[in-house]
Amino acid sequence: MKVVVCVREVPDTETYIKIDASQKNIVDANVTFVMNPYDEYAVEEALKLQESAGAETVAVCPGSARADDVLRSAVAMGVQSVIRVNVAEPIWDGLTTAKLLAGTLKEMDFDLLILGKEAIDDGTQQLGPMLGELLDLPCISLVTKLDVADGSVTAERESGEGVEVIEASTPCIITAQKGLNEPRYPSLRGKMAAKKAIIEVKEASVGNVQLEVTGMEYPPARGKATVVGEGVEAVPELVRLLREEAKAI
Amino acid sequence: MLTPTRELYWNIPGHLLVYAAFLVAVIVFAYGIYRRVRLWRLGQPDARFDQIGKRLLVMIRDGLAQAAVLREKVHGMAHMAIYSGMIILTIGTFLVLLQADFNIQILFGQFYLWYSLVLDLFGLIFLLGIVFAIIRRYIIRPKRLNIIADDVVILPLLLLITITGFLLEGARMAATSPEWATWSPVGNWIAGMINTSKAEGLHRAMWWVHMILSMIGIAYVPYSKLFHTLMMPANMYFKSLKPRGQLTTMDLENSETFGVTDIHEFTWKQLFDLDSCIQCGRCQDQCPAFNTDKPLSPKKLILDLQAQMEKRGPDLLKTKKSGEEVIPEPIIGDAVTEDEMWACTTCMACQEHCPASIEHVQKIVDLRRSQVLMDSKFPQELNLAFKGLETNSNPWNMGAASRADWTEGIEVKTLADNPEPDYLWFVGCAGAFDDTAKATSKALAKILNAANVNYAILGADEQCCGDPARRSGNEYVFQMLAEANVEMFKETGAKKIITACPHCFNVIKSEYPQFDGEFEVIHHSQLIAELIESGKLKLPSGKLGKAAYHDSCYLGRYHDIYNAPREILKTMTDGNLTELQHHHDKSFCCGGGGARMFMEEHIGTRINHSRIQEAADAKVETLGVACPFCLVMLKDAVKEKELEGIAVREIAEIVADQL
Amino acid sequence: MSAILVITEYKNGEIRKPSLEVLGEARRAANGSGAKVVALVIGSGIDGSGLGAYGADVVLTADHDALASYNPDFYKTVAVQAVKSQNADVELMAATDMGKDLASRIAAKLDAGLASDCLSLEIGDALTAKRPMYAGKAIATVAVKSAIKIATLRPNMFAVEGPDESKSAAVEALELPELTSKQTVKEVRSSSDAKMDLTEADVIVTGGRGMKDPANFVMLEELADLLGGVSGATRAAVDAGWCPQSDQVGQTGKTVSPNLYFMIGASGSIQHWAGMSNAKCIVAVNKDTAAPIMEKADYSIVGDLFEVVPAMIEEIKKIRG
Repeated sequence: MKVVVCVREVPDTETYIKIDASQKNIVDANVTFVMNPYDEYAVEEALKLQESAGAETVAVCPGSARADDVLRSAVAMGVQSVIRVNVAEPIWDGLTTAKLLAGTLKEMDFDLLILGKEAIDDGTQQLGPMLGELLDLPCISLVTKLDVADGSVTAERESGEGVEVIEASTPCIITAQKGLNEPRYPSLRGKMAAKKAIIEVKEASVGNVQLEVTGMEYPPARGKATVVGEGVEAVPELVRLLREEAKAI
Repeated sequence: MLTPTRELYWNIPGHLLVYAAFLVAVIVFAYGIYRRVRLWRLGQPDARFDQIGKRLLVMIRDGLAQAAVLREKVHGMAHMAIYSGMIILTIGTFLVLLQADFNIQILFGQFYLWYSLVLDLFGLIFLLGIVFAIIRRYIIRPKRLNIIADDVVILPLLLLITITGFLLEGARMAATSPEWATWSPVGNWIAGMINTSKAEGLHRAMWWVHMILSMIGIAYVPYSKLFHTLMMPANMYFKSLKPRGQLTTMDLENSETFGVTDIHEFTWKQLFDLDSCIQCGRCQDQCPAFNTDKPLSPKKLILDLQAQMEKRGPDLLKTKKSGEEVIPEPIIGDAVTEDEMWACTTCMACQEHCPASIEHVQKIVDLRRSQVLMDSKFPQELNLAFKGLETNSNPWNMGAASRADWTEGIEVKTLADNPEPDYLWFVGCAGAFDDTAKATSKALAKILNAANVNYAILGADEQCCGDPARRSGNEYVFQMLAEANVEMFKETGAKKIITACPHCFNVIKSEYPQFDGEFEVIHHSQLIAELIESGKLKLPSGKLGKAAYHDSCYLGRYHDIYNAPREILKTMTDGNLTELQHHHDKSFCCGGGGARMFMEEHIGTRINHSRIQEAADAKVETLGVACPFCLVMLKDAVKEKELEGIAVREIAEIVADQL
Repeated sequence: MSAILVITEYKNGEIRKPSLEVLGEARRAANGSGAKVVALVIGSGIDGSGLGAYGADVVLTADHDALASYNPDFYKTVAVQAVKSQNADVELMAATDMGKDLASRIAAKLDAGLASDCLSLEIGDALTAKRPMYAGKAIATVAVKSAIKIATLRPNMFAVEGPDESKSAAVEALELPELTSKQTVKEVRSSSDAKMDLTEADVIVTGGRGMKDPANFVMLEELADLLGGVSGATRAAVDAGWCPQSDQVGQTGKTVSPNLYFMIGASGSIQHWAGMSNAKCIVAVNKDTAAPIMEKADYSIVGDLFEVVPAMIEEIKKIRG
C-alpha cells in the first residue's frame, strides 16, 4: 500500500500578519512558517498505516525552497520520502494549485491520498474535492475516523449535518479534520533524520490562473471597547446596553 | 595496687580460631563487595574521581558529622547513638588487635581505665540506640519505614552482639573481680547478678557466641542494609560537585540512544546511588507528589531501580562478557510506571534530605529523556508546550512577536531604548505571556523605574530559558533555546541578568555555563532587598497583616535564597513573619516545577491545594511568593478551595503597591 | 451575465438560512443586470416553490430518492447538469460544509474559478469578492475571471431578501442525468436533534480556560439557550478535553460571525480572535483587565465569571419576564 500525504506551508496560527506595500501579499519576514495544522492529522494517519499495514509513505508539498522545512517536519514525524513541487510564488487560485499537484500525483500510483481539510492561510477547503474530480477518484472530506481494509476505506465524515459513515474503494482521497487522531511529536531520532533528508524537487508549470488576489487589507477596526464595570453590579447595565445600544438581545 | 589491665583472650583456649573466622568473614565480605562492583560497572562512565580534597571535605561534613541525619532530632540522635557506639567499639577492638597481634602494649594503667569506661558507656549508648530503633520499627512503625527480610535480621543481630558483649564482660568481671571494676559500670552491674561459680563457663560460652555473631555481622555487611556504613560515606565522596540540581548535558549529535531506557544506561554513579539507599524514607516524607497520593515515592523509585539492577544484572553481565548486543528491557512500564516518572516536580526535597546524597532528580529526568526523545511518549498536554517552545519560543504557544506586548502603556526600557544597561532583565515566558504573572513584570518595571535602575529588556528577541523543556526531558528543545539565549546575551554584552522567575534564574545561572554562558544572575528578590537596604526604595512599615512567605524550590533548595524575600516582607510587617508548616529547606512545592505547570494533575489530591491549606491553617492574610509558577498555582488553589481570605501575592507586586 | 444559479441547502425539509442569504444576494446582483435567478433544489420530495418570495425567478427541482442526503457525486452531477441546462454563468452557494465541498467539485468539473467564503460580492465582467485570509487576520479582494464564476458566501454576512409573498417563481423539474457514485453512505448519524451548527448561530457563548471544569459549561449552555444560541469553546477548553472539537471556535476550529458573541473566561488569543472577529457584538467577562479581549470586546465586565454569568442569566430572565 502506498499512502501519499499532501502538506502545505502556512504561517503559524499565532503569527501577527502584516500586509506588504503591494497590498496583495503579506510580509514574510518575522513570520514563523509551519506545517498546516490539518496536514499534521493527515501525516499522522499515514504514519499509522505505515506502522500497522507496512504502507509506504510519501509527502508532497507545493512551494518554494522555504517549504523544505515543512517536508523535513514530515520526515521528522516518520514519513519515508518527500517531494516538493516547486512553485516560486504563492498561488491563491485553488483550481490552479489542484491541477499543478494533480500532474505529480497522477504519476504516483497511490492507494490513498490524505490531506488536511483546508490550509489555514486561505482556508478554502477546495484542494481535496478538486483533486478528486481532476484525478477521477472518490474524495471523502472532513474525516474524523478512518478504517482502511484491503481495497476499500470506511470513513466517518463529520460536518455541520452530523456524522456520515462512508465507504469507498481505493485508490481514494481523504481530507483530515481535527479529531481524526492526535499527531505525534517527532522523536529526536526523527528530527536528526530530517536534517539529512533528501528532498526531491519536481518542476511544474502554473497554468491559466482564474482567480487572482487584487488587494489585501486589514479587517475593519472594531468600535470602541467599553468596560461596563466590575463584578455582578455591572450586569444590569450590560444587559441594558445589549438591548438598547447594540440591539443584540 | 595492681596496674590496671587485663589478660587478652583470658579463659579462651583455642582463641586463635578467631583468625580463621575472621578470614572466612573477610572472604564472604569481599565476595559481597565484588558482586556489587560488577553491577555498578555495568553503568556508563561518569567523572567522579577528580577534586579529591574537596570530595573528602564533603564526605567529612555530610557523613562523619552526620549533618543530614541530625536534621531530624529524635531519630537522628538515636542513629547518632548507634553510629558513635559502632565507631568507638570498632576502635576498641582495633586496639585489642594492636596489643594482641602487634605487641604494642597500650591497654594498661590509666589509659586502660578510661578505655574500659568509654567502651562500656558507648556499648550502653549503642544498646539504647538499637533498642530505640527496634521499638520504632517494630512497634511504632511510621509510614515511611517498611519491614523487609533484612530488618528482621539486622537489628536483632546487633542487639544480640551487644547483649552477649555485655554478658561476657560481666562474666569475666564476676570471675576475676578486678579492683577497677567501677570503671566498667555496666559490666560491673551485670557481674553483680552473675553467680561467681558459673562465671567462667558463661564467659567462655558468651565469648564464642559474641565472636561468631560479630563475624557473621562483618560478612553480612555487603548483603544487607549494614552496607550503608560503607556506601554512604563513599556516595558522599562521589557526590556531584556541580551547581546543585544541574542536569547533565547530552551530546545530541553523536548519540544513538538518548536518556535511560534500560538500567545499564544509567552511569555507574547512579547505580552506586541505588546501593546507598538505607530506606530511611526521609525523601518520601518530603516529597510533594507522595504526600498528595501520587504513585511516586522517591524511596520506592530507588529501591525499584535497585531491584531492576539485580534482575537485569546476570543478563547484562553475560552480554558484556560475550560482546553480544544487549536486547533492551525498558525500565518504564516495568520497574517504574509512567505516572511515577511524570509525577515529579523536580523540587529537590528528596535529594536535599537524603542522608546518603542520592541524586534522584537526574534519574527521573534521564527516564523522561528516553520517553520524550526516543519514544515521543509524554502527557498529551506537553505536546502544545513543546510545539510552542519550538515555533514561538514559549510553552503557551503565544505568538513570539507578542512577547513584549505586556509593556504596552507602561514605561519599560527595551534594549533598543537603552543599549547599554547595567542589568539585562530576562522577563521569562510567564512574566511575558501569563496574565497573572504579567502583573509581576509590571510591578517590577515600576520598582526598577522608581529606584532608577539602569536596565533593559530584550523584547521579542527573548526566548524561553528552556527550563520546562529540560525538566520534562526534551533536551533537544532545551539546547536549542539555551544556545540561542546565550548567543543573544553575548551579543548584548550583558554581564548581569535579573529575572523574576526562579526557573529562569536557575537555568541561566547553573546550566547556561554548560553552553559557554557565564553570567551573574540576580533574582529580583535579591535586587529589591538590596534596594531597600541601600535606601533606594522606601517602604512604609506595618502595611501587611499576618504574612508568610512560601519558598520557591528553585530559589530555596536550589540556590539557598531563603532570606532576601523574607527581608522584603518583613519591612512591611514590622519585622514579623509567620512560617508555614513547611518552610526553608523543608518547603513544600506549589506543584508547578519540572514542567508540571504545563501538565494536568489527575492523580491524588492537588499539590497546590495541600500547600494553600498550610497557609489557611496558619491563618495567614498575605502569602508572599517570589515565583510566577508558585503565584499561578497558589492563586488557583485559593480560588478552588474558596480560601479568599488569603491574598497570594508576588513580592514585587506587594512592594510596587507601596511606591 | 445571463443566469445566476443558486444551489440551496435543506435540512429536515426546511431551507437553511444561509441559503436564503445567498438567494438574497443573487437577487440584488441580478436586479441591475437583467439576469435571472435560478434556485436549484436538490433532494427528495422537497417543495421549493416558496423560494420565489425570497428572490428566485425560477425554481429548478432535482427530485430523487438518491438525493435525500448529500452525496458529492450525485449532487455534483445534478449541479453541473443544472448549470448547463440554465446556461448559468454565475453559481452561488452558502459556505457551509456541504457548500464548500460541492462548489469545489463543480469548479473542477467546469474549469471555473471559485472564491470561497466570501464576505461581500460584486458581479460584473469579473466576479470580485472580499474574503478572509489567514483566518480573518487579513481581508483579500479576489477577482474571478473564468467564463463560469463560482462563489460560496459566508453565513450570517448577507441579508435575506423578503419574503415577498407577492412574488412567485416558475417551478421546473430538472431532467436528471444518470446518477453514479464512487462512494456509498452506509449510515447517517444526523445531528437534527443535536445542537445547531456554530457557524449558523446568531448567539454564541464561548468558554475558555477560565471555566476550570467541564461541568461549568452547563452555565454557558443555559445562557445560550436563553438567547437562542449555542455554546462554544476555545482551543484550550477543547484540548483540555472539556468540550468536543466541533465546539471549537478559532483558526483551527470554526470561523463564526454571529450577532452576539460572549467570551467567558477566555483571554482572546490571536488564533481565537481569528475565528470570531466578525461577530457583530462581542461581550467579554474576565477577571483580568489585561487580557487582550478586554481591549477588543465591545462590552466587558471585569469580574469572577462564576458570579457574573449567573447574574446575567437572572437579569435576562427578569427583563424577559
